[in-house]
This record gives sequence, C-alpha cells and structure tokens, in this order.
Amino acid sequence: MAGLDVALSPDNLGFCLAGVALGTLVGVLPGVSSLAAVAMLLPFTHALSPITALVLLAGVYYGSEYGGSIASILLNVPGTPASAVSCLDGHPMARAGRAREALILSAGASFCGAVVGIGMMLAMAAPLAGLAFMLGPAEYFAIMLFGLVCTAAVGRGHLAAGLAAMLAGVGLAMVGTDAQTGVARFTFGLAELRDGVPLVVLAMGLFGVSEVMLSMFAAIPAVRCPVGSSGGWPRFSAWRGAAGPMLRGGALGGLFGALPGTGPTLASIAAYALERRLSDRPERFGQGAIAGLAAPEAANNAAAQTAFVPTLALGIPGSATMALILGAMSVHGVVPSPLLAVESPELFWGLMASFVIGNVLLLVLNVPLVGLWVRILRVPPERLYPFVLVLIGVSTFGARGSAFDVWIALGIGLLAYGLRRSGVQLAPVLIGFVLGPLVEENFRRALAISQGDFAIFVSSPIALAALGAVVVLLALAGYRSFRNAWLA
Amino acid sequence: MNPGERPPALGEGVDRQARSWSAVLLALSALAAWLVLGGVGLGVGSWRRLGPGAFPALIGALLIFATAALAWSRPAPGSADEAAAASGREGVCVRGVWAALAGLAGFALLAPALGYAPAAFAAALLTSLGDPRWGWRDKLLQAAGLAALVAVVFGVGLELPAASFKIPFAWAPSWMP
Repeated sequence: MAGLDVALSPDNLGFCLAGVALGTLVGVLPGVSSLAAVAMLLPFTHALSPITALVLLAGVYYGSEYGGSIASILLNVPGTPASAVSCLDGHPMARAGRAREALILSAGASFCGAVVGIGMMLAMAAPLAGLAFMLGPAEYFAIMLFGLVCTAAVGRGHLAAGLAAMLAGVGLAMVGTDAQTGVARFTFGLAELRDGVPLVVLAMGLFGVSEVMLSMFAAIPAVRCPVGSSGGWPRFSAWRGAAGPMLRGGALGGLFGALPGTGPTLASIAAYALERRLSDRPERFGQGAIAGLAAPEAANNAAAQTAFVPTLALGIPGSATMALILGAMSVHGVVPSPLLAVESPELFWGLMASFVIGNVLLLVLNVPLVGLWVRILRVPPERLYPFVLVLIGVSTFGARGSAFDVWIALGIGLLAYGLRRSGVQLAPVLIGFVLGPLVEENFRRALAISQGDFAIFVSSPIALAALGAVVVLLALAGYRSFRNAWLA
Repeated sequence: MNPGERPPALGEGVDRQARSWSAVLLALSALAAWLVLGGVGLGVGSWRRLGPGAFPALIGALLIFATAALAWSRPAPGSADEAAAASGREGVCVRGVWAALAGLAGFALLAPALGYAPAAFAAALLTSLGDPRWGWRDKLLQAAGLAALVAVVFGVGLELPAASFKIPFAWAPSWMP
C-alpha cells in the first residue's frame, strides 16, 4: 500500500504519464530508440527525486515497447527491435482490414505480458533478498563478469566483435580519477576528464549521433498507411484464442528479461517460435494469426518489466537502456542491492506500483489514441533528424555547460558509426562502460582480502557457478562463431 | 540513396565496408595499446595490492586478443546493415555523416559563445543544408522553430543551468547571462 501511495502522488503520477506517453511516441517513430530518449532525459532528471526520476525513465522504456508495435502493425516497419516479430502477423491483419483488432489485441497482450512480468518480479524479490548475505566482492566480481560476457556473447553479433566492444567500453570507463588511489588516469591533464567520460555523453555519441549519421538521407521507405486504423474491435473468440499465447508469452518473456544479455528482442522471437510449434495450424503464422501477434507482444513487455530485476538487485543491466537506468540510479545515490525492497521500501514498492499504473495508462492511452499515432507516423523522417540532433546537442551541452562534452559525443559518434557499419553491436560498449568500474573495484577488493590469492574467486559456490557459466557461454559462443565464419 | 541518385557500382559497397572495417580494427588496436602502455606507466602494483594501472593494462591486453580474433575471423560482408534493415532503412548515405558532423560541430562552436538556442538554430540549419527536398524557407522556419522550442522547453521549463542566449560583447545588458 505504501508503494501505491508513492506512485499515486501527483508528481509521480504526472511523470509516469509523461514517461509512458513519450515512450509510446518514441516507439511509434521508426529510427528513434528508447535508448536515445532515456539518454536525452537523463541530465534533466537530476532535479527530480530518485523515485520520480526512475518512474519517468522506466515509463519511457516500457512505453516504447507498446509504441513499437503500432508502427509494426500499421507500416510493417518495427518501431523497436523487439517489435519486429509483430510485423509478421500484425501487418497482414492490418492489410486484411483488421487494423483496429490487431492494435487492440496488441495493447491487450502487452498489458497482460506486463502484468505477468510484474508478478514474476514480485515473486523473485524474496529469494533475491536471501542472496544478499552470501555476496562478497569475489561473488559480485564473478556475477558481473557473467553479465558482461552475456551481453557480448548472446545475441546476433559475432563473439569476438561483442567481446571487443565490451572491452572497449570497459577501457573507456578507465578514464578519470581512480577511486582507490586518487590518481588521474588517461586524462591527458584535462580537467574536463577528471570525472571521466559522462555516461550521457557516451550514450548520446554511441546511439544518438551514430543513428543520425546512419539514417539521415538514407532511403527510408515513404510512410504510407493504407490500412489506417480500420476494422472493428476484437470479438470474444479472438480474446479467447489469444489468452493462452499471451500467458505463455508473458511467462517466457519474464524469464528472458531477468537474464542479462537476452531482453525483449530474444523474448519475442522465442515466444513466436514456441507458439508456432504448439499450434495445430502453423501454416497460418505469417498470414495474420492472432497467436503470432499476441505471444511476442506479451513476451517483449514482460521482459521489459523483469529486466529491472538484475539491475535493481545486482546492479547488472541486461541491456543498454537498463545500463542508462543503472547510471541514473547511481547519479541519484540509489545503490542496487538484493535488499532494496527492505532497505528502500518506498522506492522499490513505489516503482513496482508505478509499473502497474503505467501499464494501465498505456492501455487507456493506446486504444483511443490510435488515430493520433497514425498521424504522427506520417511525419517525414527527414524533418525529424535535425530535431534529434539539436536535442543531442542540448542534452550533452546542458549537463555540465561544456562544449567539450559535445566534441566527445561527436568523436564517439564517429567511432560508433564505423562500428555499426562493420556489423559490431554497440550495447556491449555501454554495458561495459557502466559495469567496468564496478568489476574493477570488486576485483581489487577481492584480491586485497585474499592477499593476492586467486583461489578466492572459486571458493564459494556462487562465484564458482558464475565463472563456470562464463566459461560455458564463451565456449558455446566461440564454437558458434567459428562454425559461422569457417564452416558455413 | 536518394531517388535519382546513382546506385553504387558492383564492389563499391564492399570496398566502403572494408575501409570502415579497417578503421574499426585500427581504432580498437590504438585503444588497446593506449590502455596497456598507459596502465603500465601508471604502475601495476602487486597481486596483493593492485596499482591504478593494473586493471586498465589487463583490459588493454584482453582487447588486443579480441581485436586479433576479430581480424582473424572477420564476420561475413553484408552483416553491417542488419541494423539498418531492422529499422526500415534500405541503405546508408554518407551525406548523413557530413550533415550530422556539421550540425553538431556548429553547435559545439556556437553554444559557449552565443548560448544554446542560437546554436540550436545553426545546428538545425547546417544539418538540413544538404537535403535537396526542402526549400530555404522551410529550412529557416524549422531551424527558427527548433531554437524557440529549445529556449522555451529547456530554458524556461526545465531551467537548464547553461545560458540559452548570450551577447558576446561588452555592451551586453547586465540582466543577460
């Protein structure tokens, strides 16, 4: 109840509404990511209380998953990577004159998935709290290393490319004053670099500047919405057919979201594959099957909720956006801990309650406002990029009033452009940057405690299991990369 | 690629990708060398008490291995534009790189001297200069609209600590930031 009181305070309710509305808008517009939106908002949350800042940023994150499906269904262009699967059956439904049915089913499935995900989060809170007293520096080091390797090894990318990107991120995090000795590292004597490269600047360069460079003047297909938001509401039989896939998709997505490196995109693909396998008419998938829309929508929204579990409890962000939210927590002095629910009940339960309220708001916003989102989709993309670039400039400059930060963002943007053109994923860079200092701190503390004895890293079951998982993951991903590169 | 623009010749896209690939390998190698050399220079200490340079040097060494593995097992050409395909783009235009560079560089040069609202005007105008689909009037109107929006939202609404407008002359009135 205390959480509900916090979430229903006028400030938090207002920022929750603003966050989910902005998130939906960002999700609707292809080419503008929730990551860039969270990064741009980050400097402006400094004046807010920690809970209000997290409510706003989280609202943008899960709101974008709702919005992404609108562009997928109406345009066959995914607004977010996780909603790409929704194109497969959502767009054929729209083309068949069932656009309204598809949009409402998608909103319902997203809501159902989010509720399943929130339920799973609450169920995980107690077992995670039990872990708190079993974690020392060696265990934290091993778990964080596992999180880092997951982000580099899981997903579409090449293993060596993922590892190089992650290590580059950790390397960039080494710039600044060493917390243990006070020595300035890699600063070239510049005062601006004594506090390191600001997280917002790195995120803006990596995802904002490079996105504008890649998309500006690119041949984006002309936006036409021949389907509009036509058709009637879903019938009872449609909801009945969607119920099972929604629940299964929600449960699967909830599991995927809690694992670092997987997240909503893989969750939606896995949920679609599962439904297709379970269906007695798999040939209907790809031609407007309700299960093919409901399951991935539920999965990606459930994953967007449970992605907060490793971030809040262990400080391990499963995705680049969660890395930014972890950065926001750090700015506001919120320390991730398995005991967060006990030590900061107002923050933890307030955030949980805001997730429920935010998802209700999204359901209320999305169904009647479909026509508005369709109109926004008609904005020519070339009009959008100068706006995005100006926001990037103001966000990076405004954080410290320093033009130096804008130059750094520009340099990082150029590097990120090259990496993306070469097929290297950027999320591991950001996650490496956020986790790097924590990994270093725990590595050094563990070795100091053990007097330089490396056995400390395999002396507890948790550390041993995490390091074992790292070895298995690297072996599997290495084999996959080798097979793809040389045996294909 | 814009409508009417020449399609890339056979092999041209691959060459461009190869150049971008080489630049990435070079940048990663330089970063790795910088971390190793800088780390060793800062002092690595002992296993009992690691120095400030030990961890960066270790990361640099690992990055050398990862970059070597990357060079040895180069991902298949064509994987580069997966992200572009996922976001609905059909290709990448290098003019976009120049437009973004010019816009952001213009912003960085002007913001400290004139404030971020005039810098936003310049950035928006510079960014849209290379777009033949718009007329001058449209470009100026959009840039002015964006500058006004930025001044209102960030200056008045969010009270950003940086100045939205500055007059860089001695005769500026005292109330100006």
